[in-house]
Amino acid sequence: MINMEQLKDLPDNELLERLRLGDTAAFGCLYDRYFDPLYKYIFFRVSSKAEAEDLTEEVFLKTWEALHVPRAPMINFRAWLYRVAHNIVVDHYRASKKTDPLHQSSSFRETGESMEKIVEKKQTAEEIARAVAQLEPRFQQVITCRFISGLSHAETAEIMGLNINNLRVLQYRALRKLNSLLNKGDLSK
Amino acid sequence: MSEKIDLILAEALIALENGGIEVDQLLERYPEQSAELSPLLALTAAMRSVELPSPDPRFKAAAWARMYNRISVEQPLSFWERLRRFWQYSILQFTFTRQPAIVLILIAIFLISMLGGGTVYASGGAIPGDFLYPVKVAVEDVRLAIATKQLEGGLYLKFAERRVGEVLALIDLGRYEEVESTTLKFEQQLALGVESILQADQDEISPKDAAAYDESISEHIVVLGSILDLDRVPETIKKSIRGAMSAASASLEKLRRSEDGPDDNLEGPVPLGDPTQTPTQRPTLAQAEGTSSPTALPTLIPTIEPKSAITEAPAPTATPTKTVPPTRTATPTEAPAPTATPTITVPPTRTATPVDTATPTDDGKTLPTQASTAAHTAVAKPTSTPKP
Repeated sequence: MINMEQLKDLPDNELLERLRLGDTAAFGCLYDRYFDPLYKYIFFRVSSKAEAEDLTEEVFLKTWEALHVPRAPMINFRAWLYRVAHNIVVDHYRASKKTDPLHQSSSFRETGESMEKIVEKKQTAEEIARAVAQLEPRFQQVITCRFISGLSHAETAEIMGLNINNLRVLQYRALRKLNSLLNKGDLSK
Repeated sequence: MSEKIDLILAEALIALENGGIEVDQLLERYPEQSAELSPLLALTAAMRSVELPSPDPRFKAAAWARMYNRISVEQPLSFWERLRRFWQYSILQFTFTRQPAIVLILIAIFLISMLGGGTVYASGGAIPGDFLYPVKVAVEDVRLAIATKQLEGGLYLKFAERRVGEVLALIDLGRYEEVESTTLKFEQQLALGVESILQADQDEISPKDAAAYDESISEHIVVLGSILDLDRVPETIKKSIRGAMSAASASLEKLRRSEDGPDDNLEGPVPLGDPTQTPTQRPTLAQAEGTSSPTALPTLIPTIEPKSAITEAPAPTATPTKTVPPTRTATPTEAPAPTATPTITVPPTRTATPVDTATPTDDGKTLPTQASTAAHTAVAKPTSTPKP
């Protein structure tokens, strides 16, 4: 028998095994582990707290539906989860016909730093967010996965269904394009 | 050059991610590409420093509560379903050794068939952590698997009662590490039992049975409550006990409501999934969002004797009267900020939660899903669920 503390320390694949055998607590652990990072990933893409909350909840509903029925084992659950999140964000924009999410200035977290520093950071964050929103979807995804969510090259490649070489090229192009947008300084488009 | 620069950029990023090197040092390694690399690396550093807000812990807990309600309806799997999945996923994929508990159950079943009922009988007194405990659980699963719908609810309640006995025994022996999982199992079986009873044809439940169910659950609350008086029991364990008591109260309330006739308020309380809070403080989702009034839960405290020889526990006094426990107050501003450890499950509560279950289709797509509550609506749109 395993207690809750031990359960929390189990790697994803062990938790998935337990989930397949009907252990609901294992799903609770996965939820706890990934809710915050997925929320942040989605928030960066949609820029609204309420939408990010709803969409994050939806990710876990979809995950539950997909996981509690028999299926082939997953090699990288984290990558799979981000892929679900990406699809949900894409569908969200498709359904709401939004193409240019404007990032809310009040949404970025304020820390204990000086007001000057906070304003400076906020401006940078907002500029980046606006510039990323103007990139083509694949560039947006690679930037968000790699530099906002901190996923590895391999995980990002898996999420995007690319091989690692293509991912590297895409990453380079996305960064170059983003840099060019930021240097132009015209992000109001 | 551009063919190579993506590789150089990737290498540089990996070096920075791994730490131990500064951008300037890195650029010295690639003098030819440094002009192009420099702004890109600065940009990635700026992006990594972006601080994004964390989700509202109340929302996180409420979302888990909604999800748990849904999950609990589908749990637990029957013994045969578990066995089937084990066969499908473990044996066929040669991961036999990764399922020691299930292997143990299979061995136990084999031994039962070889040795007759002796092992089963011997396992009757087993508690979590004992060698024969998996046999006890397996036998229960078999009984549930072959039970008719009418008998299922009663069986679940009977097994929930066993869990209470096991909790007492575990505490008596000081084996606290198994208590939490046992209380969770208790909550689950109790919820399933009540759900099953409510779904059964009400005409087939005699008033005598209904009274027995009521008394049984009330008894659980009192017996579990006696554990809270024990000084030697760690606070973390007491939290689990309080959670189990809260779940039992919720089940009892549900049962009584159904006895009183149809419930007009189908959007009744939904527990906020914060297992770190004590049950008496656990607000409902509606309360957390300031839209609902609290529900006083009259609890019948029956005359009972403790089922275990816990010496420190004062024997509950015989009080064959109805008492009303302290009313939970709805103060949304005081809704505890959950520290989101939702793996300690909340008791499932029937809510007016329209749920259209999405079904993953062969091509990896899923149909739309909706999970909404009175106060919060999850966005549900057609979404592709990838096949990993």
